[in-house]
Amino acid sequence: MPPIALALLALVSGVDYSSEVKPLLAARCVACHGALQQKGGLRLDTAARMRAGGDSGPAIVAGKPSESPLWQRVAGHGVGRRMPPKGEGEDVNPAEQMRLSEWIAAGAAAPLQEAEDPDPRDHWAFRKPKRATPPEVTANPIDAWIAKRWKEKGLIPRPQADRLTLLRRLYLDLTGLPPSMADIERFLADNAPDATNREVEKLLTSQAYAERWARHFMDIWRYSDWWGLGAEVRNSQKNIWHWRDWIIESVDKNVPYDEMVRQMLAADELYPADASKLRATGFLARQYFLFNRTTWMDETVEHTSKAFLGLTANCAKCHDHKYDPIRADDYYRLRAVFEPYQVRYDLPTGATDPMAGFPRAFDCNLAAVTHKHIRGDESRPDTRRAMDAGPPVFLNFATIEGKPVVLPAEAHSPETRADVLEAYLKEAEVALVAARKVASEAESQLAQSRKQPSATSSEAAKPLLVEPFDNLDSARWKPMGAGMWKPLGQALAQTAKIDGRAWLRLTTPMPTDFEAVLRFRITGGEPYRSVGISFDAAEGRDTMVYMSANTGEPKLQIAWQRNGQYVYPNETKQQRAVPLNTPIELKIRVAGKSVEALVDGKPGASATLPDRQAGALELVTFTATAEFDHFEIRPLPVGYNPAGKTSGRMTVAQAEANRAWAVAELAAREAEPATIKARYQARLQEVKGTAAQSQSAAREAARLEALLAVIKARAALAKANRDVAVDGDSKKPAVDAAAKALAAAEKASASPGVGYTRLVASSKSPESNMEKPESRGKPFPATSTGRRSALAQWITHKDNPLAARVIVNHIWNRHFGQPLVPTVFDYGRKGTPPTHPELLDTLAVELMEHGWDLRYLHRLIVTSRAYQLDSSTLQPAEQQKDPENKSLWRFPSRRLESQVVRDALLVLANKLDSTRGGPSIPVNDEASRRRSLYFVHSHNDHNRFLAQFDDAGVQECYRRSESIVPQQSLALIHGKLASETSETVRQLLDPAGAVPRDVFIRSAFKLMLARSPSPAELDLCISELAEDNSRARAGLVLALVNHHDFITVR
Amino acid sequence: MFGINNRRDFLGRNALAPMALAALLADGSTSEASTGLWSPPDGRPHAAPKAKSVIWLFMNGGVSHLETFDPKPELDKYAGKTIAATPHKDVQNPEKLKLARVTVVNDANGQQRNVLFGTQTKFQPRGKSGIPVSDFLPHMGAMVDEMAIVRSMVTTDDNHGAQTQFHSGRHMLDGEFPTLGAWVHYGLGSLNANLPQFISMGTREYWNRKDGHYLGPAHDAVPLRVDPANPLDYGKPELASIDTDRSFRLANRLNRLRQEAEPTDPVLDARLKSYELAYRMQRALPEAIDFSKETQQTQQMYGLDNSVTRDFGMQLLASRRLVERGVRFIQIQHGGGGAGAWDAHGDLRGNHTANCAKVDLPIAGLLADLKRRGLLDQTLVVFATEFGRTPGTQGSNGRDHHIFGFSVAMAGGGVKGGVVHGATDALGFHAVEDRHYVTDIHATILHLMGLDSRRLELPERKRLEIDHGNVIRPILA
Repeated sequence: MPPIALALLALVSGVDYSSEVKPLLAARCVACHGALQQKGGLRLDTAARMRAGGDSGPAIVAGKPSESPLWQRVAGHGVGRRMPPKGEGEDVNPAEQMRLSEWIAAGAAAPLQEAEDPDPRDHWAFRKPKRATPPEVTANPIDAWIAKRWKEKGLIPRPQADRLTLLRRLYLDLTGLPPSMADIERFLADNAPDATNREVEKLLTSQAYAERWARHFMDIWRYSDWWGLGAEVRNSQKNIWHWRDWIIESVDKNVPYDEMVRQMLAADELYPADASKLRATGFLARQYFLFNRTTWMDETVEHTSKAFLGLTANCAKCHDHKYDPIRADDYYRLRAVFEPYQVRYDLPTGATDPMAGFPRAFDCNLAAVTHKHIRGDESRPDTRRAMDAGPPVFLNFATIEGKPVVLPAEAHSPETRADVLEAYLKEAEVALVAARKVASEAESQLAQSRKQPSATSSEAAKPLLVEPFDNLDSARWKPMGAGMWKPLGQALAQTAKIDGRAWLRLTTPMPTDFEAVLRFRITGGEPYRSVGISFDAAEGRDTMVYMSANTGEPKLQIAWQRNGQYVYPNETKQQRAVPLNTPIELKIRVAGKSVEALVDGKPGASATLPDRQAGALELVTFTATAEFDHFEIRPLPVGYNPAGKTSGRMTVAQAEANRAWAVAELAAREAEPATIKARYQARLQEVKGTAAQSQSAAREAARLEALLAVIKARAALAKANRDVAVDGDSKKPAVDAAAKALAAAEKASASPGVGYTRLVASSKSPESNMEKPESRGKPFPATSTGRRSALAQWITHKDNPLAARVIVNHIWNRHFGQPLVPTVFDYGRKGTPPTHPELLDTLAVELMEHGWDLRYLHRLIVTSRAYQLDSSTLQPAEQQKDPENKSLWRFPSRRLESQVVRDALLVLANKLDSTRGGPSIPVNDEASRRRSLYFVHSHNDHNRFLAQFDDAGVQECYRRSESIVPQQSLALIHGKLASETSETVRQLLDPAGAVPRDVFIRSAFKLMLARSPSPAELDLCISELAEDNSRARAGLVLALVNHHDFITVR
Repeated sequence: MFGINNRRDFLGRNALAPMALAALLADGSTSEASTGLWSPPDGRPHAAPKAKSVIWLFMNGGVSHLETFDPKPELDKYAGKTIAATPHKDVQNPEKLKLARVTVVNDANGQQRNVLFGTQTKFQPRGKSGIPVSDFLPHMGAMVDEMAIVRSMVTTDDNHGAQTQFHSGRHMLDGEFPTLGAWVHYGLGSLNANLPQFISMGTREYWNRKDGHYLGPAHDAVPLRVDPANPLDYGKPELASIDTDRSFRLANRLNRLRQEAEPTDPVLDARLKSYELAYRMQRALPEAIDFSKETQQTQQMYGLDNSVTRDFGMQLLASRRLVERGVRFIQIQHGGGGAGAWDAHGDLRGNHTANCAKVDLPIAGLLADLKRRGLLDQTLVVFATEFGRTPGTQGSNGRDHHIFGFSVAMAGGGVKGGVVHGATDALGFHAVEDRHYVTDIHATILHLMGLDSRRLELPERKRLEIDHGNVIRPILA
């Protein structure tokens, strides 16, 4: 449409500036041309500014859209670049262009007193909180500000909640657990005026409080156990529960909030030698992502900003922030703070197994450079400029330079920690004691065998069962799963190409200890192609020994399942070729907890099981087609001796060989401690000593190691000789190999040199799946950049306007179920302003003035009048004026969080296992009675009960959702936990079945709902118990579990 | 999560609005035009809907477009030759390959495969429209006049993160975002107060089992098993020691007494309704998936009489029954194991012969059954997968992941039948005509459901332009 026609149109229609033009410009233009930024010197937030224009003259010429650069740019006419630029927002569509054109054509009229947008740096949240003078003096500063709002709105608050309601509220809120009957009775009997305050103190110092509030912090700091594909860690880290335990302990010890933040971001710089505090950097370890460093860094920047500062820095990744004064440069400056860090596992005190290490952050790549990504595209780094590290520039209340931190030896070389040496020595000592015992047993066994000569090993044990598989003997085998079994005459084939498992269960009884031989071939399937023997099989548990012809990782594996979870230890695996369509003989020997697997007569893998429980034997295929040729079960060979422990009878020759091995093994164990000390010393001198000291310590360590290698080689030869004596000549090749190895070790020991093995105390997680071994093995730097500690100091600086407000709001939200600032992670200009600004600021100042003491803050909140109000809505006037209760004229009731629902049921049933800390519990361990925060919590694993009640999101959870969906009702009415609880509560309240009906009902109401029944409720329940028996009473308790007042904090 | 925590919102979204909606829909009313101020969806569509329900069939692992919907004679012509030795060598021009956003660098899969691999099956013109469909899918082929085939899909993740990407529209390196089903669930209320509105079936192994993400867990799909005896978690008492039915009724009466005492408590009202819904759901669900009243002929249409087709056929028959009962969105993933059963890195012919045989007849049966019942017009059936497969060979007889061009088929619910939209080049390598990123499928479905994704957006969760996608208008009826 030509401009003339547009102008005519405008005369007819008329466009309203305030409702049709200004919002359009505000949405598309003002972020770059307004108070926040004035690109090209231009502001478009008022009509006057448009007329005044920018560097290239006025933006609008009244009456002449076609001559107005503003219209030209958005319509794509004229010479200038089209606006908004690509990637900075959607094009102004033709209808909008027309509106703009009409408005300009009609003279660009606008209100005379049009206000300019304020300077974003003056936004309330970016100015330091100040304690305002309260409108009245109240004992608790909270109440003055809450009352002020009541007065303004003409609201009358609810009265104080009754004592029992308040008790339950305090218990659930502070500890996440409801009071027991004893707690209730004790409190109700205590009529002293300070009874409530004493209760608060008791709860605030309980273990349950630490666990409850730790879970809240786990939400905000987005705790997640590791997840990946199979055994590959892709996200977060193994053993991240050490960080969870640090959170619990810190809450318990009331570590000041600012100190917690500093430790999480930079304990490795602030407390480099304190393993306990280093666990705090689990916050950074949780951000780990194997495949893409930019994603890892993005999440770190986004959630550091959101969690501690309430800033959406992530919105400044591709372009400057559209609402807040955060530039894209700031985003990459924040990234630069984190750029050098990587994650490693360090041994906790007392451990020597690297698998047991706790994940922690450390600056690994000191020279790593951060480049800004053009439009946030990681394939387009702006390499002209290395970004410096630091917080957003606009928050300039303090400048804290990151200064390099020189790390002590224990930090960059954890193998020099004294406690690591101690742990290694202790482990060696334990092994030595065990070896002594074995040696003395071998000695007495030898004496025994000399007294009572026994059968020789050549006497083959008679098979207990022989299965030639010339057909499928259904009396013996029960096919299970979706397999298709086809007899081939000489063999039995499983031919179904299925996604899962197909197996044959042996229906005849099994001995506990046995040898089994399976001859089979794997013929196909995808992707695992596993075939093997399972024993002790029962619901949710078994032990499997199998061969896997998986293209990626062919192997022999011993794995076991407990509570439905399989573990596949690396130590019980043998990577090896597993050919298709080739006969394989798999032999397993099971003796007590010991399992040994041999393939084609050669030792493959062995394992010591955690425990054993009798179950069925099964021949298993997993995503495999296979042919079974032969299977048999025999007793173990005479004198079979899996783990050096003697069992059964031996011939003299066998017993001699066995003793020789035990003695040689003992010699190795005896030599171990000195070697460990020398290895430790050598590394210590290398790090701390002079060159000469280092050289001589290394020489000594190398010498002892070489000697130990010889002793161990002798033990290996003795073992091989013993195997020949016990198992026969098939083991001969091992003897030759061991003899050769011994000769080599002896030769090497003649000139040991200075090369020695360091103790292992740390293991770096791969920086990416592409990281090369040289990089993985490089030494940890002896300094740290200091960038993270500088950022942490800056975040927790007393003049930082955001940190205290953010945490105060989080804590308030969790006490009241509604925050003071509704947008809990966005305090920017797009966020929602506080409902009670003076209160928010007062609490922020209070917290900082009290040394960031969280317990103080909790106490202040829960002893306020606002917190202790009744929660009823029964006040029509207030309900009408403020139905959403924004002014807190009543206590806002809310639903229990998922963890609290489950924990409450456990407490009421008196079944809660209060064990604290430790490895996470598998999600499907429904038998566990531990608190819910100890379940595995990850992207891949969800506990099915917790998942029904809005469990915390793994990606982020700054606020819990609170939904009401039917599946929640079904979980509470049908779930095993709810039924069991109801049954137990019935027993607790009425152990002998002698309590009168109404008394039972009253106690049930008191315990479950913390109140008395109304007359109507009592009548209803009494009639429900017309047929009065324990089943009906348990049913009544279950109805109360499903009562609104049970699942609600009132 | 402002949208969900807001009281009015969760009450509206999760309990109250669905009750009122069936009536609202009947008079065709739509939601008020935007006033500029954000408010949560009220359960009504933004425009008159064409489709009431979606059956979303997703083939895990990546279906070869070259052996299903996109015949390429040139492939056979040059089979065994390297791409560089053909006139089409420009398809591997590095500029054209930049679409890929790699998650797993240097993975064994997701690589360029240079030696062309001939088509592993034949194509025939099918139906009145004569659209070619491969011999792997004879039954679906017979229904091609009901289908719109989009041959010009592209995505960006060359690994199986593309499964999530196809559902959420975002690459896994960007984070986690609500899936299409969650958006539909969020935007629209219920058509049936007795059943969950968003149901998932099949195997959902590789990608996250959640849908709602920042919309909240209330918008996750409810996993359903096609087993009337045990259709969903907590669908029946787990212990027999208590008469749970009786407790259910007593709880309801007690909660009603509580409501009489405090009629103004809005949460209590929602809780009562959710209990009532739960009570009806546990009864309605087993009935909805009980096939005993289906004729033998109907059961045969879905292949229930054959062990190859039975599993998937049962899920589809259940879907039809759920759609009849007003369920909004049914999401079915086919094929577990590894990253998905269709992931034919080796033996493509064997893999696709077997997998197609499992789904072909049931899907054709579903379309025919919906049509004869007059349900196809209002039910959108989508046949989708995360990416296609390479024109080049992987190993000796497989195809690798291929993101530069692949096919999706849609039927019913306001989509034209018997049309092909878009095209790949002569090798089936790049989508060259009317290219569509996965969110264009989302935009099309939302449009047909009467929803405008921009109006579903939460104020603090600004979505990118690519998240909204563009409606594929040429395939609309």
